[in-house]
Amino acid sequence: CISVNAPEGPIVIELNINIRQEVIYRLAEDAGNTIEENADIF
Amino acid sequence: MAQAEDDISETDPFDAPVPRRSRWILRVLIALVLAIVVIVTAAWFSREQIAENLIGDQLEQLGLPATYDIERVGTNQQVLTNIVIGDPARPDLTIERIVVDIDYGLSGPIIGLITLNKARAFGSYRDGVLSFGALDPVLSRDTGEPPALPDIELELIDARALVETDFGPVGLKAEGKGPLDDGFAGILAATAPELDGGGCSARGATLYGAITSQDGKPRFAGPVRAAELSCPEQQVSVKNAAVQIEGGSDAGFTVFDGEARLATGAASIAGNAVGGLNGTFRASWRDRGLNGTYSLAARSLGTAQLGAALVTAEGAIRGRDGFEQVELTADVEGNGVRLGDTVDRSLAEFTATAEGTFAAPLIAKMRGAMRRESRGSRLAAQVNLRQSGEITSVVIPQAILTGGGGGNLLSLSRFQFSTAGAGTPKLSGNLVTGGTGLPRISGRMERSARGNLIFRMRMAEYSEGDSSVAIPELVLLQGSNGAFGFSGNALASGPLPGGSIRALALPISGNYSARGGLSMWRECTKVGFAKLELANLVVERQALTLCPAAGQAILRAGAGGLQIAAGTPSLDLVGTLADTPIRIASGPVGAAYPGALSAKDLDVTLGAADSANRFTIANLDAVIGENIAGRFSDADIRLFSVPIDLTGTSGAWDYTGGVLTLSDSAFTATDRSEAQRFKPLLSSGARLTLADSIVLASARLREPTSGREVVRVAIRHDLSNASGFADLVVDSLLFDDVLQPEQLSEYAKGVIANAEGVITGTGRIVWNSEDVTSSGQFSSDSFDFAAAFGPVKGASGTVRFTDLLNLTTAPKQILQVASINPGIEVKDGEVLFSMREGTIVSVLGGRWPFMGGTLLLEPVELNLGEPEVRAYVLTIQGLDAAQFISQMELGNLSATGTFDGEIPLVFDAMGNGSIRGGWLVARPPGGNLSYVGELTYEDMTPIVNFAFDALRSLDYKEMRIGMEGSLSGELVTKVRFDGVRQGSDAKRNFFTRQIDDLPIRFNVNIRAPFYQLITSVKAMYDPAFIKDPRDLGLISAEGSMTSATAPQQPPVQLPVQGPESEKMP
Amino acid sequence: QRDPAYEQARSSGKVGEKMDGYLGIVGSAAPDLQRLVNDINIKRRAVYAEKAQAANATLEEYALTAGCLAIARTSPGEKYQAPDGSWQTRTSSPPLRDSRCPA
Repeated sequence: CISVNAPEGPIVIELNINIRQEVIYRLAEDAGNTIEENADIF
Repeated sequence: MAQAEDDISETDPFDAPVPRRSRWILRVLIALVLAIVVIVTAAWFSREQIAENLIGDQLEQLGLPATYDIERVGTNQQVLTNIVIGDPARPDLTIERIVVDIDYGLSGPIIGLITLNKARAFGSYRDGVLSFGALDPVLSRDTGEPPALPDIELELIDARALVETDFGPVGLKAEGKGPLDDGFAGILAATAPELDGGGCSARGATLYGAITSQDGKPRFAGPVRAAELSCPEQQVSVKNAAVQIEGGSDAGFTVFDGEARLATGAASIAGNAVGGLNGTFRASWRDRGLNGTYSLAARSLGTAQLGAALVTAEGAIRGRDGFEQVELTADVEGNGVRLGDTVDRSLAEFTATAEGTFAAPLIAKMRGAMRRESRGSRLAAQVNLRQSGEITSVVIPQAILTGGGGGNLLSLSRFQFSTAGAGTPKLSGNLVTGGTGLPRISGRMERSARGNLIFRMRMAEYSEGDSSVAIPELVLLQGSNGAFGFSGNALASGPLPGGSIRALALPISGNYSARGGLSMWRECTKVGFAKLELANLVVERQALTLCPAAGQAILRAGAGGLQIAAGTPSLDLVGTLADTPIRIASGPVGAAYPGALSAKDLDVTLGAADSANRFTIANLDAVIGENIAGRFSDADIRLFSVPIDLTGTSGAWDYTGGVLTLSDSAFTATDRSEAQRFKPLLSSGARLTLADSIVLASARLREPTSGREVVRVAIRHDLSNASGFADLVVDSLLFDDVLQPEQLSEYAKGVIANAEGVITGTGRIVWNSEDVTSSGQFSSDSFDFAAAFGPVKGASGTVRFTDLLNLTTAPKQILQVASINPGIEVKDGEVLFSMREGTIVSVLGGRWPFMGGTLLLEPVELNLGEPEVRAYVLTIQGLDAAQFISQMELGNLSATGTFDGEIPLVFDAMGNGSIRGGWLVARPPGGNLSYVGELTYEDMTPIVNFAFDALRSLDYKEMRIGMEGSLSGELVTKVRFDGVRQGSDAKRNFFTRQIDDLPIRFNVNIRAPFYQLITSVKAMYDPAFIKDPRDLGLISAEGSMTSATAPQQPPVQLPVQGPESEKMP
Repeated sequence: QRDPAYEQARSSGKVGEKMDGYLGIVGSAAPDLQRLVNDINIKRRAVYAEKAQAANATLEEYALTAGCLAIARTSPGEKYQAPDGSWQTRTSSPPLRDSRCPA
């Protein structure tokens, strides 16, 4: 949790947000269509 | 008497060809003999009537039917009148009055002077028989003695006779007195207005002369004239001929001799015209043989071959057996001898046809020299003519024609000419020509073993200006059938149409026959020359083998006109074209005039060995006429200084007036360097002209598969100094799905693709013998393409190249770029760059408006040729946070403050870009950040909630954002706020109030795809943005999690109080 | 309707589908084979950039997704890259694929 004390310096809040979202699934269908449309380069 | 008749019948015109004029003189002699006979008969007849009515008794004794009146019969004179002998209706002889003096001698009465007054005799001369009707028996009585003049003294007063001959009537008139056989003197006149016979005709022929007799020998002296004599068959016509005859015969009429002086007006014999003829003949006729001498002078003689002012001939003539055998000798003298008109005219024609060649000046010189020399020229020749029966032979031991200038123009020696009936004449003898300005020809004619003629001839060099011809040796052989074969060789130099030749060594061989005409060179002939010039082509010291078509001759001239057809199995000529070295080699070449030329496998090398232009032409043909024009196909052209090869060229060519033109030609242009900078382009309708060593060419080059015109080329090249230039015009070249850059150059493949747009530009390549420089500029209004770093749209501007061939641009080229998407689309940029060798691109800078500020690309150097890692540095100036937010359509967020920073980008070989140590710093005094959407994420940890609560509204004095990671993938962003205070509208709560005035440093490390950073933020507050998991295949239709979706991703760790966050750079 | 040179390169195993959605060269890279692969990849990237922007995804994700599908549709004898990075020859059985690949 957060330790709050009257620090001498500024309160340093270290915040690591690691957003890693699986969009592969989202794009599968779209990518599938793209491959069919451009069959000459796939 | 009979003998005389024989003479007449026998002297049918003998056919000695040469002394044609003497035949006619014999005719006149005949008329003379005729007249004598008439007189003799008259005299003979009157003598017998002397005694008593001697005449009457005599008449009866002779059986002549006569009527007469006796005027007086005295003792010493008897006179009869009106004597009519023959049929009274058509008397043969009428005499008005005969007076006969009678002397008495020992033996009784002797007839003295008989005077016939107005005797009229009528005779006829039909097919060689002279008849006086009733008088004939008397006339043809055989007296047994040898024929001789009777010794009667006679006086004829106005005695006349009319003889109807086959040739026309002849009127005779005689006067005279004296003893017939010795001492008679009288006048004889004969006129024959029209005599036609034997193919000839005489008009106004008269004879008038004195008749005398001496010791039994009759003589006649006087002129025979004819107004006009003509024999159309022999083309003989003589105007007002007059022959002064002085002649007679011996007592027995066996020997005739006489002298005739001839003078005529204009005469023409077989086309040879004479102004006038004068001559004297002295001849005697004995035992059917003629012996005589003559001298003849012809004024202004004009024959086909020769003309002469005056020609005199003297000599002797001998005929035997009635001209069966004739010998004629003549010493001929002539002066003012000149060329006959026809020869002169044919020389003129020959000069015209030989116009422009070395022959023309020579012939002109010869004609001039001949004309000059003929004034005052003199001819001296001896001619012996012998004819016996069919065989005639003319021998000229010596004939010299001396020119006005003193030199011998022509000297013939031991010249012999003989014909035997129908066969062609045989010739022999020696000939030498000379004289100032005339060719010196020496020739010898001789009879070969088999009896036919050989004529060897040599002509010394005959020259005029730079034209000269010499014939070292020429042999003519006359075959038995009369055709001539000749062989030899000639040396010639001088001008040719369109050029000149020096020291042409030309072997001559061929034959000529009246029927077959002239044909020359039946086998291959080696022709050599020291120097040949045609237009600016100069070929030196070469030899050429020319061959006729099979079984034919190279040259034929005859009825069908002049035809020349020659071929050579191969050519190998070395020379210069406008002082540029040239080598012409070829396979079989054939040319015909009139007709066509064709050459196979022509290989022309033009220029010094190390910088030669090559023209190899598989087949070439042309029609030779006024000019030479034709087609060529399958030719490869390699211009040394232009690094483009033209292959498979075909088209039309034309060489007129020294200008070579190639037109309507198609070819394939290929890049000669192995680097193959561009792929082959096609051309059609190209043109090239070569004149005065300047090459001008123009062509439209098209890309083969699309057929689209790529570039128009105009080339000017000066052969003499191997310098020139080529102008290139690219006129709105459209790139689309039909034409892509990779179809133009292999280099474009893998560098640029999906090109779309129009390129226009010009280029110029300039070269000289040392080096090649090229420049050009190309521009486009809007050009899209995809490159390794991503698609570019709307590139526009002009790129200037200082070295077009090596694709090196001038420095500081500017291109506007509508948009470029290396992962993040950046719009309306401007790139400053230059390119070297088509591969080294040095970007001097790029500028993009970016989020209210400017994105600047720092100078960087790229090597397109090699796949390499490329590092760029982007500087951001004055990024406006508010614009950033609005541009990213983050509706629920607002921010203020202006940021500057730097983003070092590194693109790997595959073109994936990543940021290495990018940073953005807010400018003082900082700004505000506030979040106006709800926060719906429950699973956020409390601190996250606090953080986002704080975000409600934060004033910051300093903000620093660090970025790291893949541009097109995961990006770690560290955001650090300093001097944070709750913004005015932040949610106040207990917690916040305590720290309200505490300086807070906010370190937010967001590890998310840069793009995703934005989208996820968006996703957080925009549910529509999340796709339905089912249609993403995450949740099966029934709603259960499909196995594949089990996330193996480690849960989100949120170290609350992790190690000290990395030191911000 | 693939370009014949590309078809031949695939069937002879000179090139193979990589996981990241791009084409890779198996073995030695002859210059014109390199140019062929570069050209195909540039075109794929252009499509990915456009489609990713439309689908609000990153280019990399889109490429990865396409990669999964491309490997799935390789025909036997063609090459593809296994998760461990090695080149495999596709057989009739399904290819080894990254766990994240959709079915």
